[in-house]
Parts: sequence; C-alpha cells; structure tokens
Amino acid sequence: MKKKTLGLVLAASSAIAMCFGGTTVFAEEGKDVSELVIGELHYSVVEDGGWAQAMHEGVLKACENLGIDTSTNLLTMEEISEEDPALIESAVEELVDNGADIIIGCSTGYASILSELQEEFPEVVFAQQNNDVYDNLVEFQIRGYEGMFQAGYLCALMNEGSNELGFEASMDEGSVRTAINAFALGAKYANPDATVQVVWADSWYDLDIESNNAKTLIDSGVKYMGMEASSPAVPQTCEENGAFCVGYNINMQESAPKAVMTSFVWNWAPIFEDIFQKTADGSIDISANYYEGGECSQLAEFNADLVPEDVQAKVVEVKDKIASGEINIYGGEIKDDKGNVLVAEGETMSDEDILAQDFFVENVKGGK
Amino acid sequence: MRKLRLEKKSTSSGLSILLNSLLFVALALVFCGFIIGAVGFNPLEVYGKMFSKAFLSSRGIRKAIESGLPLMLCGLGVSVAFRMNLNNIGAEGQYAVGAIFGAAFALYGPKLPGILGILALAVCCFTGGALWALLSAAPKAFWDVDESITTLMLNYIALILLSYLCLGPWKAKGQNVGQTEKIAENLALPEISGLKISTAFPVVIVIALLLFGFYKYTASGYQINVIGKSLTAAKYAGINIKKNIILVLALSGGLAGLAGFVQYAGITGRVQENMPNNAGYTGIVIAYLSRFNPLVVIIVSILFAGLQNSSATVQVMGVPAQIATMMQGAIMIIVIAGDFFQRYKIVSDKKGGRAS
Repeated sequence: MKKKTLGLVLAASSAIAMCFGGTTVFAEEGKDVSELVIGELHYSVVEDGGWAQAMHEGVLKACENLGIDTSTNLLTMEEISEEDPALIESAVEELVDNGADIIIGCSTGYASILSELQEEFPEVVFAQQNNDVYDNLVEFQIRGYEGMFQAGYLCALMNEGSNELGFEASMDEGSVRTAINAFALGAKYANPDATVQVVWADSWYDLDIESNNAKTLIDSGVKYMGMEASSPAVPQTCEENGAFCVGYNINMQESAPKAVMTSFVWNWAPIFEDIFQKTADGSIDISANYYEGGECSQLAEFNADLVPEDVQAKVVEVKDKIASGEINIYGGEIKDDKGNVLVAEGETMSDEDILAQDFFVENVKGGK
Repeated sequence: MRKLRLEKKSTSSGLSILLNSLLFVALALVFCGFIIGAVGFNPLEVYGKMFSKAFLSSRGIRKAIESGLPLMLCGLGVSVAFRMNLNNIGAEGQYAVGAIFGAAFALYGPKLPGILGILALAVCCFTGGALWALLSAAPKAFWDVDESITTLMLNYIALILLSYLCLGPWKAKGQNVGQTEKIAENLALPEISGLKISTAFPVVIVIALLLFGFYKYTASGYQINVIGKSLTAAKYAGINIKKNIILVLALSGGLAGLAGFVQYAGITGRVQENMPNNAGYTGIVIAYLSRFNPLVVIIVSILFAGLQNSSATVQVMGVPAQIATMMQGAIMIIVIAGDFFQRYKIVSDKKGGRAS
C-alpha cells in the first residue's frame, strides 16, 4: 500500500516536472524571429533565371521583412541533386550542425527524404514545396492557376482579330498542365472562341527546343503565347520574330523588352514569412499545408510599351474578381478536350483534382 | 644540343602507380587551392574540413559508401569493357534500363518469398543493362560499328524512356514528382544491423573480388586481356573476337544495370526520373583512374562519393558549390594527365648521343 502511494507521488511529481520542463524548453524555443537560422536546398544554383531564383528571392524577401540577417542566418545549399539521398542527407546534417531551425526543400523531389530525416532531427522544422503528402513536413504550394488565368486572359485580349494563341510547355506533368489549362481558361474568359495550341519541349530546360517550338508557333500564325519553361529562349525568339509572350517564373522583361508583356511570377515570400514567424514563436504545426493564391500567384508589372492602359486595367479587374471569388476558375461547367464534362454547372473542382490535373480543358489543342 | 624525347616504359609496379596517382592528386589539390584562395578562403581550412567531415567521421564514411555504390558498379562495368579496349560509354543508359527492368519486376512480377524476390530483382536489373549493351555489342561484333557512338546514343534513349515511365504510367500517386511508388518491403535490401550500411556494399565487394579472380585465373579473363593488349595477337592466337565482344559488353552492361538494382533496392527505394544522375559517366573516370582494377574501383568510388558529398560541407563555409564540382574535374584531368608519365618517360639525349 505504502509502496503504491509512493509510486503515485513519484508519478505525479514527475508529471509536474515534465510540465514545467516542457514550458521552460518552450520558452527557450520561442526565440525572436530575427534570430532564426534558415537553410534552403536547391537542385541548381539559385541564380538560374527560373524556378530556383524565384524561390530564393521569396526566401530573401521574407527574411528582409522579418529582420533576418541573410548574410549570417541564411544558409543556401546549391546543386543538391534530388536523386542523391546521401548528398541530401549530408546537406541537411551540415545545416543542422550550423544551427538551422528550419530547412526548406525548394523542389518537390526532396520530399520523401526530408520526411525520413525529420524523424532523425525532430527539433528542426522541415518545409517542403509539395502538396499535402507527408504528415511531418510543412508543405507549401502556390495556386499557380490564378496568375496563369490572368496571363491567358491578357493574351486573348491583346490578340485582336484572331482566336489562336500558343503555349510552350516543358514536360507533361501535373503542374505544367495546371499552367496550360489555366492559361486556356483565362483566354476563354476573354474570348469564348479562343484556342491554345500547345507545343512540348519534353524537357525541363532546353534553349534550342524551346526556341524552335516558339518559332513553330509563330510560323503557324500565333502572335501571342504563354509559356511554362525556365529559360528566356521563348521571349527572345518572340522578340526576334515580332511576337509577344508572358514570361514565367521570374520577371523576364529584361531578357526581351520588346516581347515580354508581363511575367507570371511565383511569389513565395508571404508563405515563407508565415512559416518563419510560426517557427520562431513555436506555434508551427509540422503537418501544415499551404496552398495559396492571391498575392502569391501574380503577374509582374506590365510592360507599359506593349500593354495599353485599358487592357492593364481589365487584367487587374480580373485579378480582383478572382480574389473576391466572383471568378471561380475551376467552377463549372468545364469540359475536357474530348468533350467530356469535368465539372458540372454550379460545382467546383476539388483541390485534389486541381493538383492532379489529369486532363486538358476544352480549348487546348495539342495536349497529350 | 640536348634533345628530349619520350620513351615508352616497359613495366610499372603497383607501388609506382599508386605514388604517381597520389602525386597528381596532390598537384590537383594545389591547383584547386589557388582557386579557393582566389575566392577568398583558406584552402587548408577548406580541405581540412572537407576531409574530416567526409572521411574521418563514421557518418561521412557511411554516406560516401552509400553514394559510392552505383559508382562502383558503373566503374566495374566500364572496366570490364575497357580492359578489352571496348569503349562502353553507355553505363548511364545501361544503369537506367537496369532500373527500368527492376521496377517492372517490382510492379508486375510474381511475389517470390524471402531472398528469392531480391535475387530475381537483381537478375532483372542485370538483364536490363546487359540487353541494352547488346544493342551496341551486336553491331560491333558483326559489322564493326563503333561502340563508343552507339553506347553513347543509347544513353539518351534510355534516359528518355526512364523519364517517360517515371512521369507517366509508373508515377507514384498524389505526387508531382517523377518517381515510382516505394519498393515493397520484401524486395528492399536491408541494412547491416548496427552499421547502417546497405547490404549492397558487401555484395558489390564480392562482385569485385569475383571479377578480380576472373581476370587473373580464368581463360576468358586472360583472353580479354590479350584482346585488349593486341587485337592482332588475339586473332593470331585464335581467340573468338565476336563472341568476346558480345559477352564482355553484356557483362559490362549487366554490371551497370546492377547499379540500378543497388540504388533502387538499397538506397532510394524508388525508381526516379533522373536516377543515374551521371553515375555512368563518373564510372568511366573511376574505371580509368583505377587502371581497370576492380578492387581499386571500390576505393576510388568511395573517395569520389566523399568528395561529392563534401560539397555540402564547403557550402556552409560560404565556398560556392561549384568548387567541389571543379575539384572533381581538376582531380580527374590532372590524374589522367599524370597517367601519361606512368606510361612514358622523358629521356634526354646528350650531345653526341645515339640518334633518335
């Protein structure tokens, strides 16, 4: 009997101790956000003029807004191949050894390995560009279709007297289809008869093929095109041949000022800001999933020499309508390119289906 | 007047080869040291940190072995062919097709109990690589089509095929990544308990030992060496060249295909869009640096992998990532250049010496 009581007392006191211990640790962890050490993993160099650069700029901007000194507290790992688990592991260990509180996987390919490493380093927050697959990673993704819808809308408005638009696409994959379909839906919103001819590079990055594809579109009479490609080859080819396009990933106006009307730009900063802030005050939920549109999925400033002010105003109006919900991009009725109804009138596609994108919408030509 | 000329060395001992290699690696490090200095870092500090992280910690060694596994098999595969003077540049593609065959077995093959499943998976990967190499071997054997071109070109086809399958029909559900679903538990190679090293490592060592024995003690191994040294002599000796081309390239491709096996079953657990990741090409360099000696291939592969992994270490010091890549390149070129001095010596003829 006595023994039992003693045991209970011990258990109770250890429970109390644990509570106190817990709170103390918590107080220590809730550090000022400016002291946060951030590690980022990139598959290429950050100045790639595309995806990695957009992501890196987002990190920099978020750091700047939160007063994080990037010269000391941002550790950037470049050229960490997504296919080399040992290298990814080495990079993560180095980052942890150097005090990283949060590690960002800037490309989807890191997800499965980071999820395994999270178990090894539970004190570190792993944030990963991905869509809600893992329970122990903060995953983030941008509703790229919102910005792409505006891009398609702009091209169709500019393309007076013709219904034919073009699109230069990289690989046949979900995120790329998202871009194509949103572009086509936006074009249709401006002109119900607009069609989008897609040409495929079948490569994530290939200057020659992208350039040839743009030329093919131009030769077939296309004057305005969208793109989901990482190099400035399409804008430059457009410029040489008197055609126009909407750049992709980052603001591409500099590479072809006479052809780039605006660019679809990934704006990751708001997402990172939120993740950093919550990591600092200890309120982060490591299974969180961000799927953000609005200011994250935006067009860069318009090229005033190419886009008249009234057109600019119309595109901004569409942007506001998307934000307010007046335009429901994936609201019915939407048909696929074989005429099947994807979304019935009055219904909206689920995020899951939007992410999977195993279809092409009605007015896409040359889908796979 | 003094005249310098080159003279072919008759023999070179293992020790002199080792010393030669070490000397030229040191030269490469000195060369890179200048560049590291030029970007504003102390080369000794950078090297010290790279070396201690990559090779003096158990974690570092474990990861060097892990990254080194596919390099070892590609290096072994390439060596077999190079010994016979067959330029198999296609380890990259053979690796990819090995992985494709492996994934096909994992997806559609029968469920075999215990170790049988793993063995069947390995056989599939080997067969995939071997068949891909045969596409180059047959034209070479029968019509003397240059195998360096065909093996190289087939790489592109294999990689596109791999990428198509990983992004298309075999893609894991719910992900936007070009990779297959995780391999079934019973097909995955376990880790050696306590060491956290994949059991693939001892398997690769056994393969290297077998190859070593094959070259040294079997008639076929001897024939390969003879063909490599002199085709005319081999023909004169009545060695069947056609048969050897086919067999050797198939073996070479099969070994590269096994790289797909160890990576798939032992490391990633998934077949990925860009799986070979240049291991097939690095394997060529490793084979060359190892003088096609299978046991040396293992060591050189681990050293190379450690160097690759240390790129993370130098980056946190602020050194650009490209420095590690550049070091690999510099070491390759300088050591291969050094090989020249291994094979030739510079002789100076004194005035009035014998005419050259």
